[in-house]
Order: sequence, then C-alpha cells, then structure tokens
Amino acid sequence: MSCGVTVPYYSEPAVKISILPEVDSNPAAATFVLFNEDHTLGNSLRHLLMRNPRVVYCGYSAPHPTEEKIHLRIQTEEGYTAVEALQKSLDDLVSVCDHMLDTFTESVTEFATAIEASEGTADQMQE
Amino acid sequence: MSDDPRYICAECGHECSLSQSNKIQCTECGYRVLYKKRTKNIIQFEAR
Amino acid sequence: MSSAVDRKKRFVELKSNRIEHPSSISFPPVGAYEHEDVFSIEKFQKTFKVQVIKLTDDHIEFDFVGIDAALANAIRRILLAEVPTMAIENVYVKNNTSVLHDELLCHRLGLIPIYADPRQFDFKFAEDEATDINTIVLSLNVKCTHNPSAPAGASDPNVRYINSTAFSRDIKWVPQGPQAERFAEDPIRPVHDAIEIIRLRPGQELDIDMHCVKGIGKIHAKWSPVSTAFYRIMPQIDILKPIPSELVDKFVDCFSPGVMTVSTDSKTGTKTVSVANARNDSMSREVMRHPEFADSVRISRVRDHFIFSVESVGMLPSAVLVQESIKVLREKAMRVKLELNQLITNSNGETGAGDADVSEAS
Repeated sequence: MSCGVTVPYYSEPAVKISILPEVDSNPAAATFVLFNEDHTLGNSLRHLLMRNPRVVYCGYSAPHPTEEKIHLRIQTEEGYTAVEALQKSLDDLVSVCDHMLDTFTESVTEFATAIEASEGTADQMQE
Repeated sequence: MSDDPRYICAECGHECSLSQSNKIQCTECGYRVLYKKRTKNIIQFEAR
Repeated sequence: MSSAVDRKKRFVELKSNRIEHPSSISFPPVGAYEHEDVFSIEKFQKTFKVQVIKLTDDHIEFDFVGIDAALANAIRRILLAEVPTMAIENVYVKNNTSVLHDELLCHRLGLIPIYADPRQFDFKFAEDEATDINTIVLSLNVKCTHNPSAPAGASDPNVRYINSTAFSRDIKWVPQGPQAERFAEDPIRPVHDAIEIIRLRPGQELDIDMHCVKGIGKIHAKWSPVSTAFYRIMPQIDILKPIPSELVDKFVDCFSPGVMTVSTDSKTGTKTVSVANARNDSMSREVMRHPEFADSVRISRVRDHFIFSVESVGMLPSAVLVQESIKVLREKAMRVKLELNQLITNSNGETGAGDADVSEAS
C-alpha cells in the first residue's frame, strides 16, 4: 500500500519474443524466450510440439520465479526448422482453442435449452 | 492562520496549532495528549 | 499395440502407496511414433467432447474429454489468473473518521466484487488518462448518527443509530459521460448488496471516491473472476474378482456413497456388487487397506477425462468465464505468432544487410 504513487497494474512487454544467441547457429535448434508468459502457454506449446514427429527435442523452463518469462527449447530433424515447428504449434493451439470454444458453446446452449424445455413441461404439469 | 499542523486535545477537544518550539500540551486545559487533525486534502491510496 | 501399453496411455493407476505412470506418455522416442501420438487438428476435432453436467450463473460443472492435461491446466490457470474483471484500484479518501486506518479500509474496498462487464472496458495502461472506457467511478458517502426515533433503553446499535454499518450497497456508481446510457439496462453496482465494509458509531463518517479499472488476477487476486476453478480426473474402478457375499457391505463402505450398487438374489440372499457411478468416488483408496480385497479391485483415473468445476464470483456467468478463458489462450497464441513472424522478417532483413557489409569489407 503506497500513497500517491501509481504502480502499473497492467502492462505489455515491448518485446514479446526473442531467440537466445547460440555459438553455432543452426536453424534446426533454437531457444525462444517468451516474455510475460508462464506455464500456461509454455506447457501447452511444449505438449503440442512434443506431439510433432519432426521435433526431436522440446522442453521449457521458467528460468526464475520472479522473472516473467519462459525459455522454450526446440530441436528438429534435418530439413525442418525450430521456427517452423513453433509456428505450427501456435497454429495448432489457435485451432484447438477455436474448436474448444465452439464445442463448449454448443454443449452449453444445448444444456440450457434442454433445461428450459424441461422447466416448461414442469410448469405445464403444475397447471 | 499559520501553516503549523493543528491538533485536537484528547481531554477537552480544544483545537490548537503548535509550532516546533511549543510544549506538547493543550493551550486550554494543559492536557498532554493531543491528536493530529486530519488533513482536508484528498489522499490517494491503492486498493491493494 | 499391446493392451498393457494401451492401458498405460489411457489410465493412471492408483496403488496403495504410489501412482503408476502418472505423466502423459503420448511422446514416444523419435521414429517410434504411432499414428495416434501425432497431433492433428482433425483428430482432435473428432475425439474432443464437452458435456455440461450442471449449469447456473454461479456454478458450472462440465467434462472435457479427449484433451491433454497441459491444455486443461492452461484453461484452469487462465480462469484463476488471466480472465480480466473490473475492480477498485485507486481510492481517494476525502474523509475517514472511522476506527479503521485509510490503508486498511482501501484494501477492503478493493476486494469488493464490482458487477461490471469487463468486455465493455479497455485496459488502462500506466500512461493512459482515465476515460469513460477504462475507468468506473464509484463513491461511498456514509455518516453515522443517533436515531432520534429509537426507543429509550434500546441496546441494538442498528436501532439506536442510523447507518451503524457501512454496507457494499452504500457504494454508488457515478456514471461518466455516455456510461449512464451504455449501462442503463444493467447498472454498475457491487455484486453483493450486504457485504459489511465497516461498523460506524455516531459522528463517524466516510467520504470516499473510488476508481475501478480492468485488471487480471495475476496482478492482484481482487481481479480474479472465480471463487474456485478446479478439475478432477475421472475415476475408473474395475472389480477384477467377484466379492464374496459376506464381504460386500464392507467393500461398499470403502467407497464414496453412490459409487457401488448391491443386488441381492431373492432366493439365496447372496449379494453381488458392481460399479454404479465411479464419478462420485473420492479416490480414498480405503479398499487397499484391507488385505481381503487386495487383488479384487483396480482403481485408476481416465487420463484424458477432466471434470471441471468453475464457480463465478458474479461479474460474469460461469459459462461465459470459460468461454473467455479459451479466448485468452487463443489470444496468447495469436500474439506470439504475430511477434514471431515480425522477429523473423526483421532478422532476415538484418542478415541481408550484414552479408552486404561483409562483401564490401572483403
């Protein structure tokens, strides 16, 4: 609690993503840094990347608990790049979310109409 | 009126202002417990 | 694929002292991928199922089937910490003669849930001015006085005094600009009317203005839109050997009510037990304490079946919160995708320039 001082309560980082420099630059291996992200996105992407058969290795870590960033390491087989793998996993995650949202909305609507219908018949029976 | 902070006597409720050299004592009844009067300014806080 | 491997993939088995193969094993070594291990959106669309079990504005219970723990957990984490709501952030105290310090009172005010649709507002970043699309203004003006019509000798403070308690309902919305029109149908107010803020006595007064802004639970719990958001993994109970009639009652008592069902033969009076509703089981593993049941039952969880329970604080209906959480996850992926593409284009441009420099030097 502070008096008269404004602490930013919501902020977006200027840089969202960067690639860690490596001694030997090889497009088939990269460590991405995602700023302002945590296990929520880190683990989701790791899961999708590990189910890509062209990804040889994938892992993520939160380097320090007070730093709002994660490291995402991707190694791929020859002829495929880490960037491509990450792009695919992001596309997959977007499609997963789209499908999840549609399916969820559909079943909520279905459930709500079913309840309304049953309440309607209950009312009729009371009458 | 001076800019000195204003105090309220805990005994008689008398309001007075004290400067640095004054004794901490009510000018009316001599009681030595004084409360500082709340500022009329708006004070901003964070609700955290 | 052998049925043992298939079981490992589908179930997490509970033993008396440990949990067997708990982590997801759909990532075999490179080259050993089976068709079903590879992620494809078409396959996900076929296998993913949602079933709503209970639905009210305050509480939703639903099943996600055919999804990995990583994604189910992402949804849960977003519900707790990243679905935005509106909450009191800046408090301007004009007068406070109550027994509570300004700081403590402000902290209390911040935790009062405010009924306002966060989707109708923008985030207010540090450099932004307060406007009618990023800020809600509220005011709390309560003064406690003696009640002149109180009967003599009344001892109840509620009778003796007027405004002996400041409630959340005393917080009044001060519409800014077009807000009065925009929210005319569903005015902005505290979610609950009767939250006690503080007790007052005659002569004590609160005169406070408050600014609400949009925020997320990660920054401060007052912005969290849920009371609870959790999932259980679907229990699965298999009775491997028939339970002797005389042990049936003891066996049934090892599980939560409603999990087992007993049928009695009308002629012989022998009892047989079967699983009625494994969903209700608390997975206490009580049955494993009794040696007589040692090999008769197998308890496991269905790895990809999540039973979600989400309770809303009240700003948004529970089902809408889940929808919003999925949108937040989508937005995260979109943002990273966009910035990744930008990073690639920028670095390609730079390498091009770098090559040119090298050729000039040589």
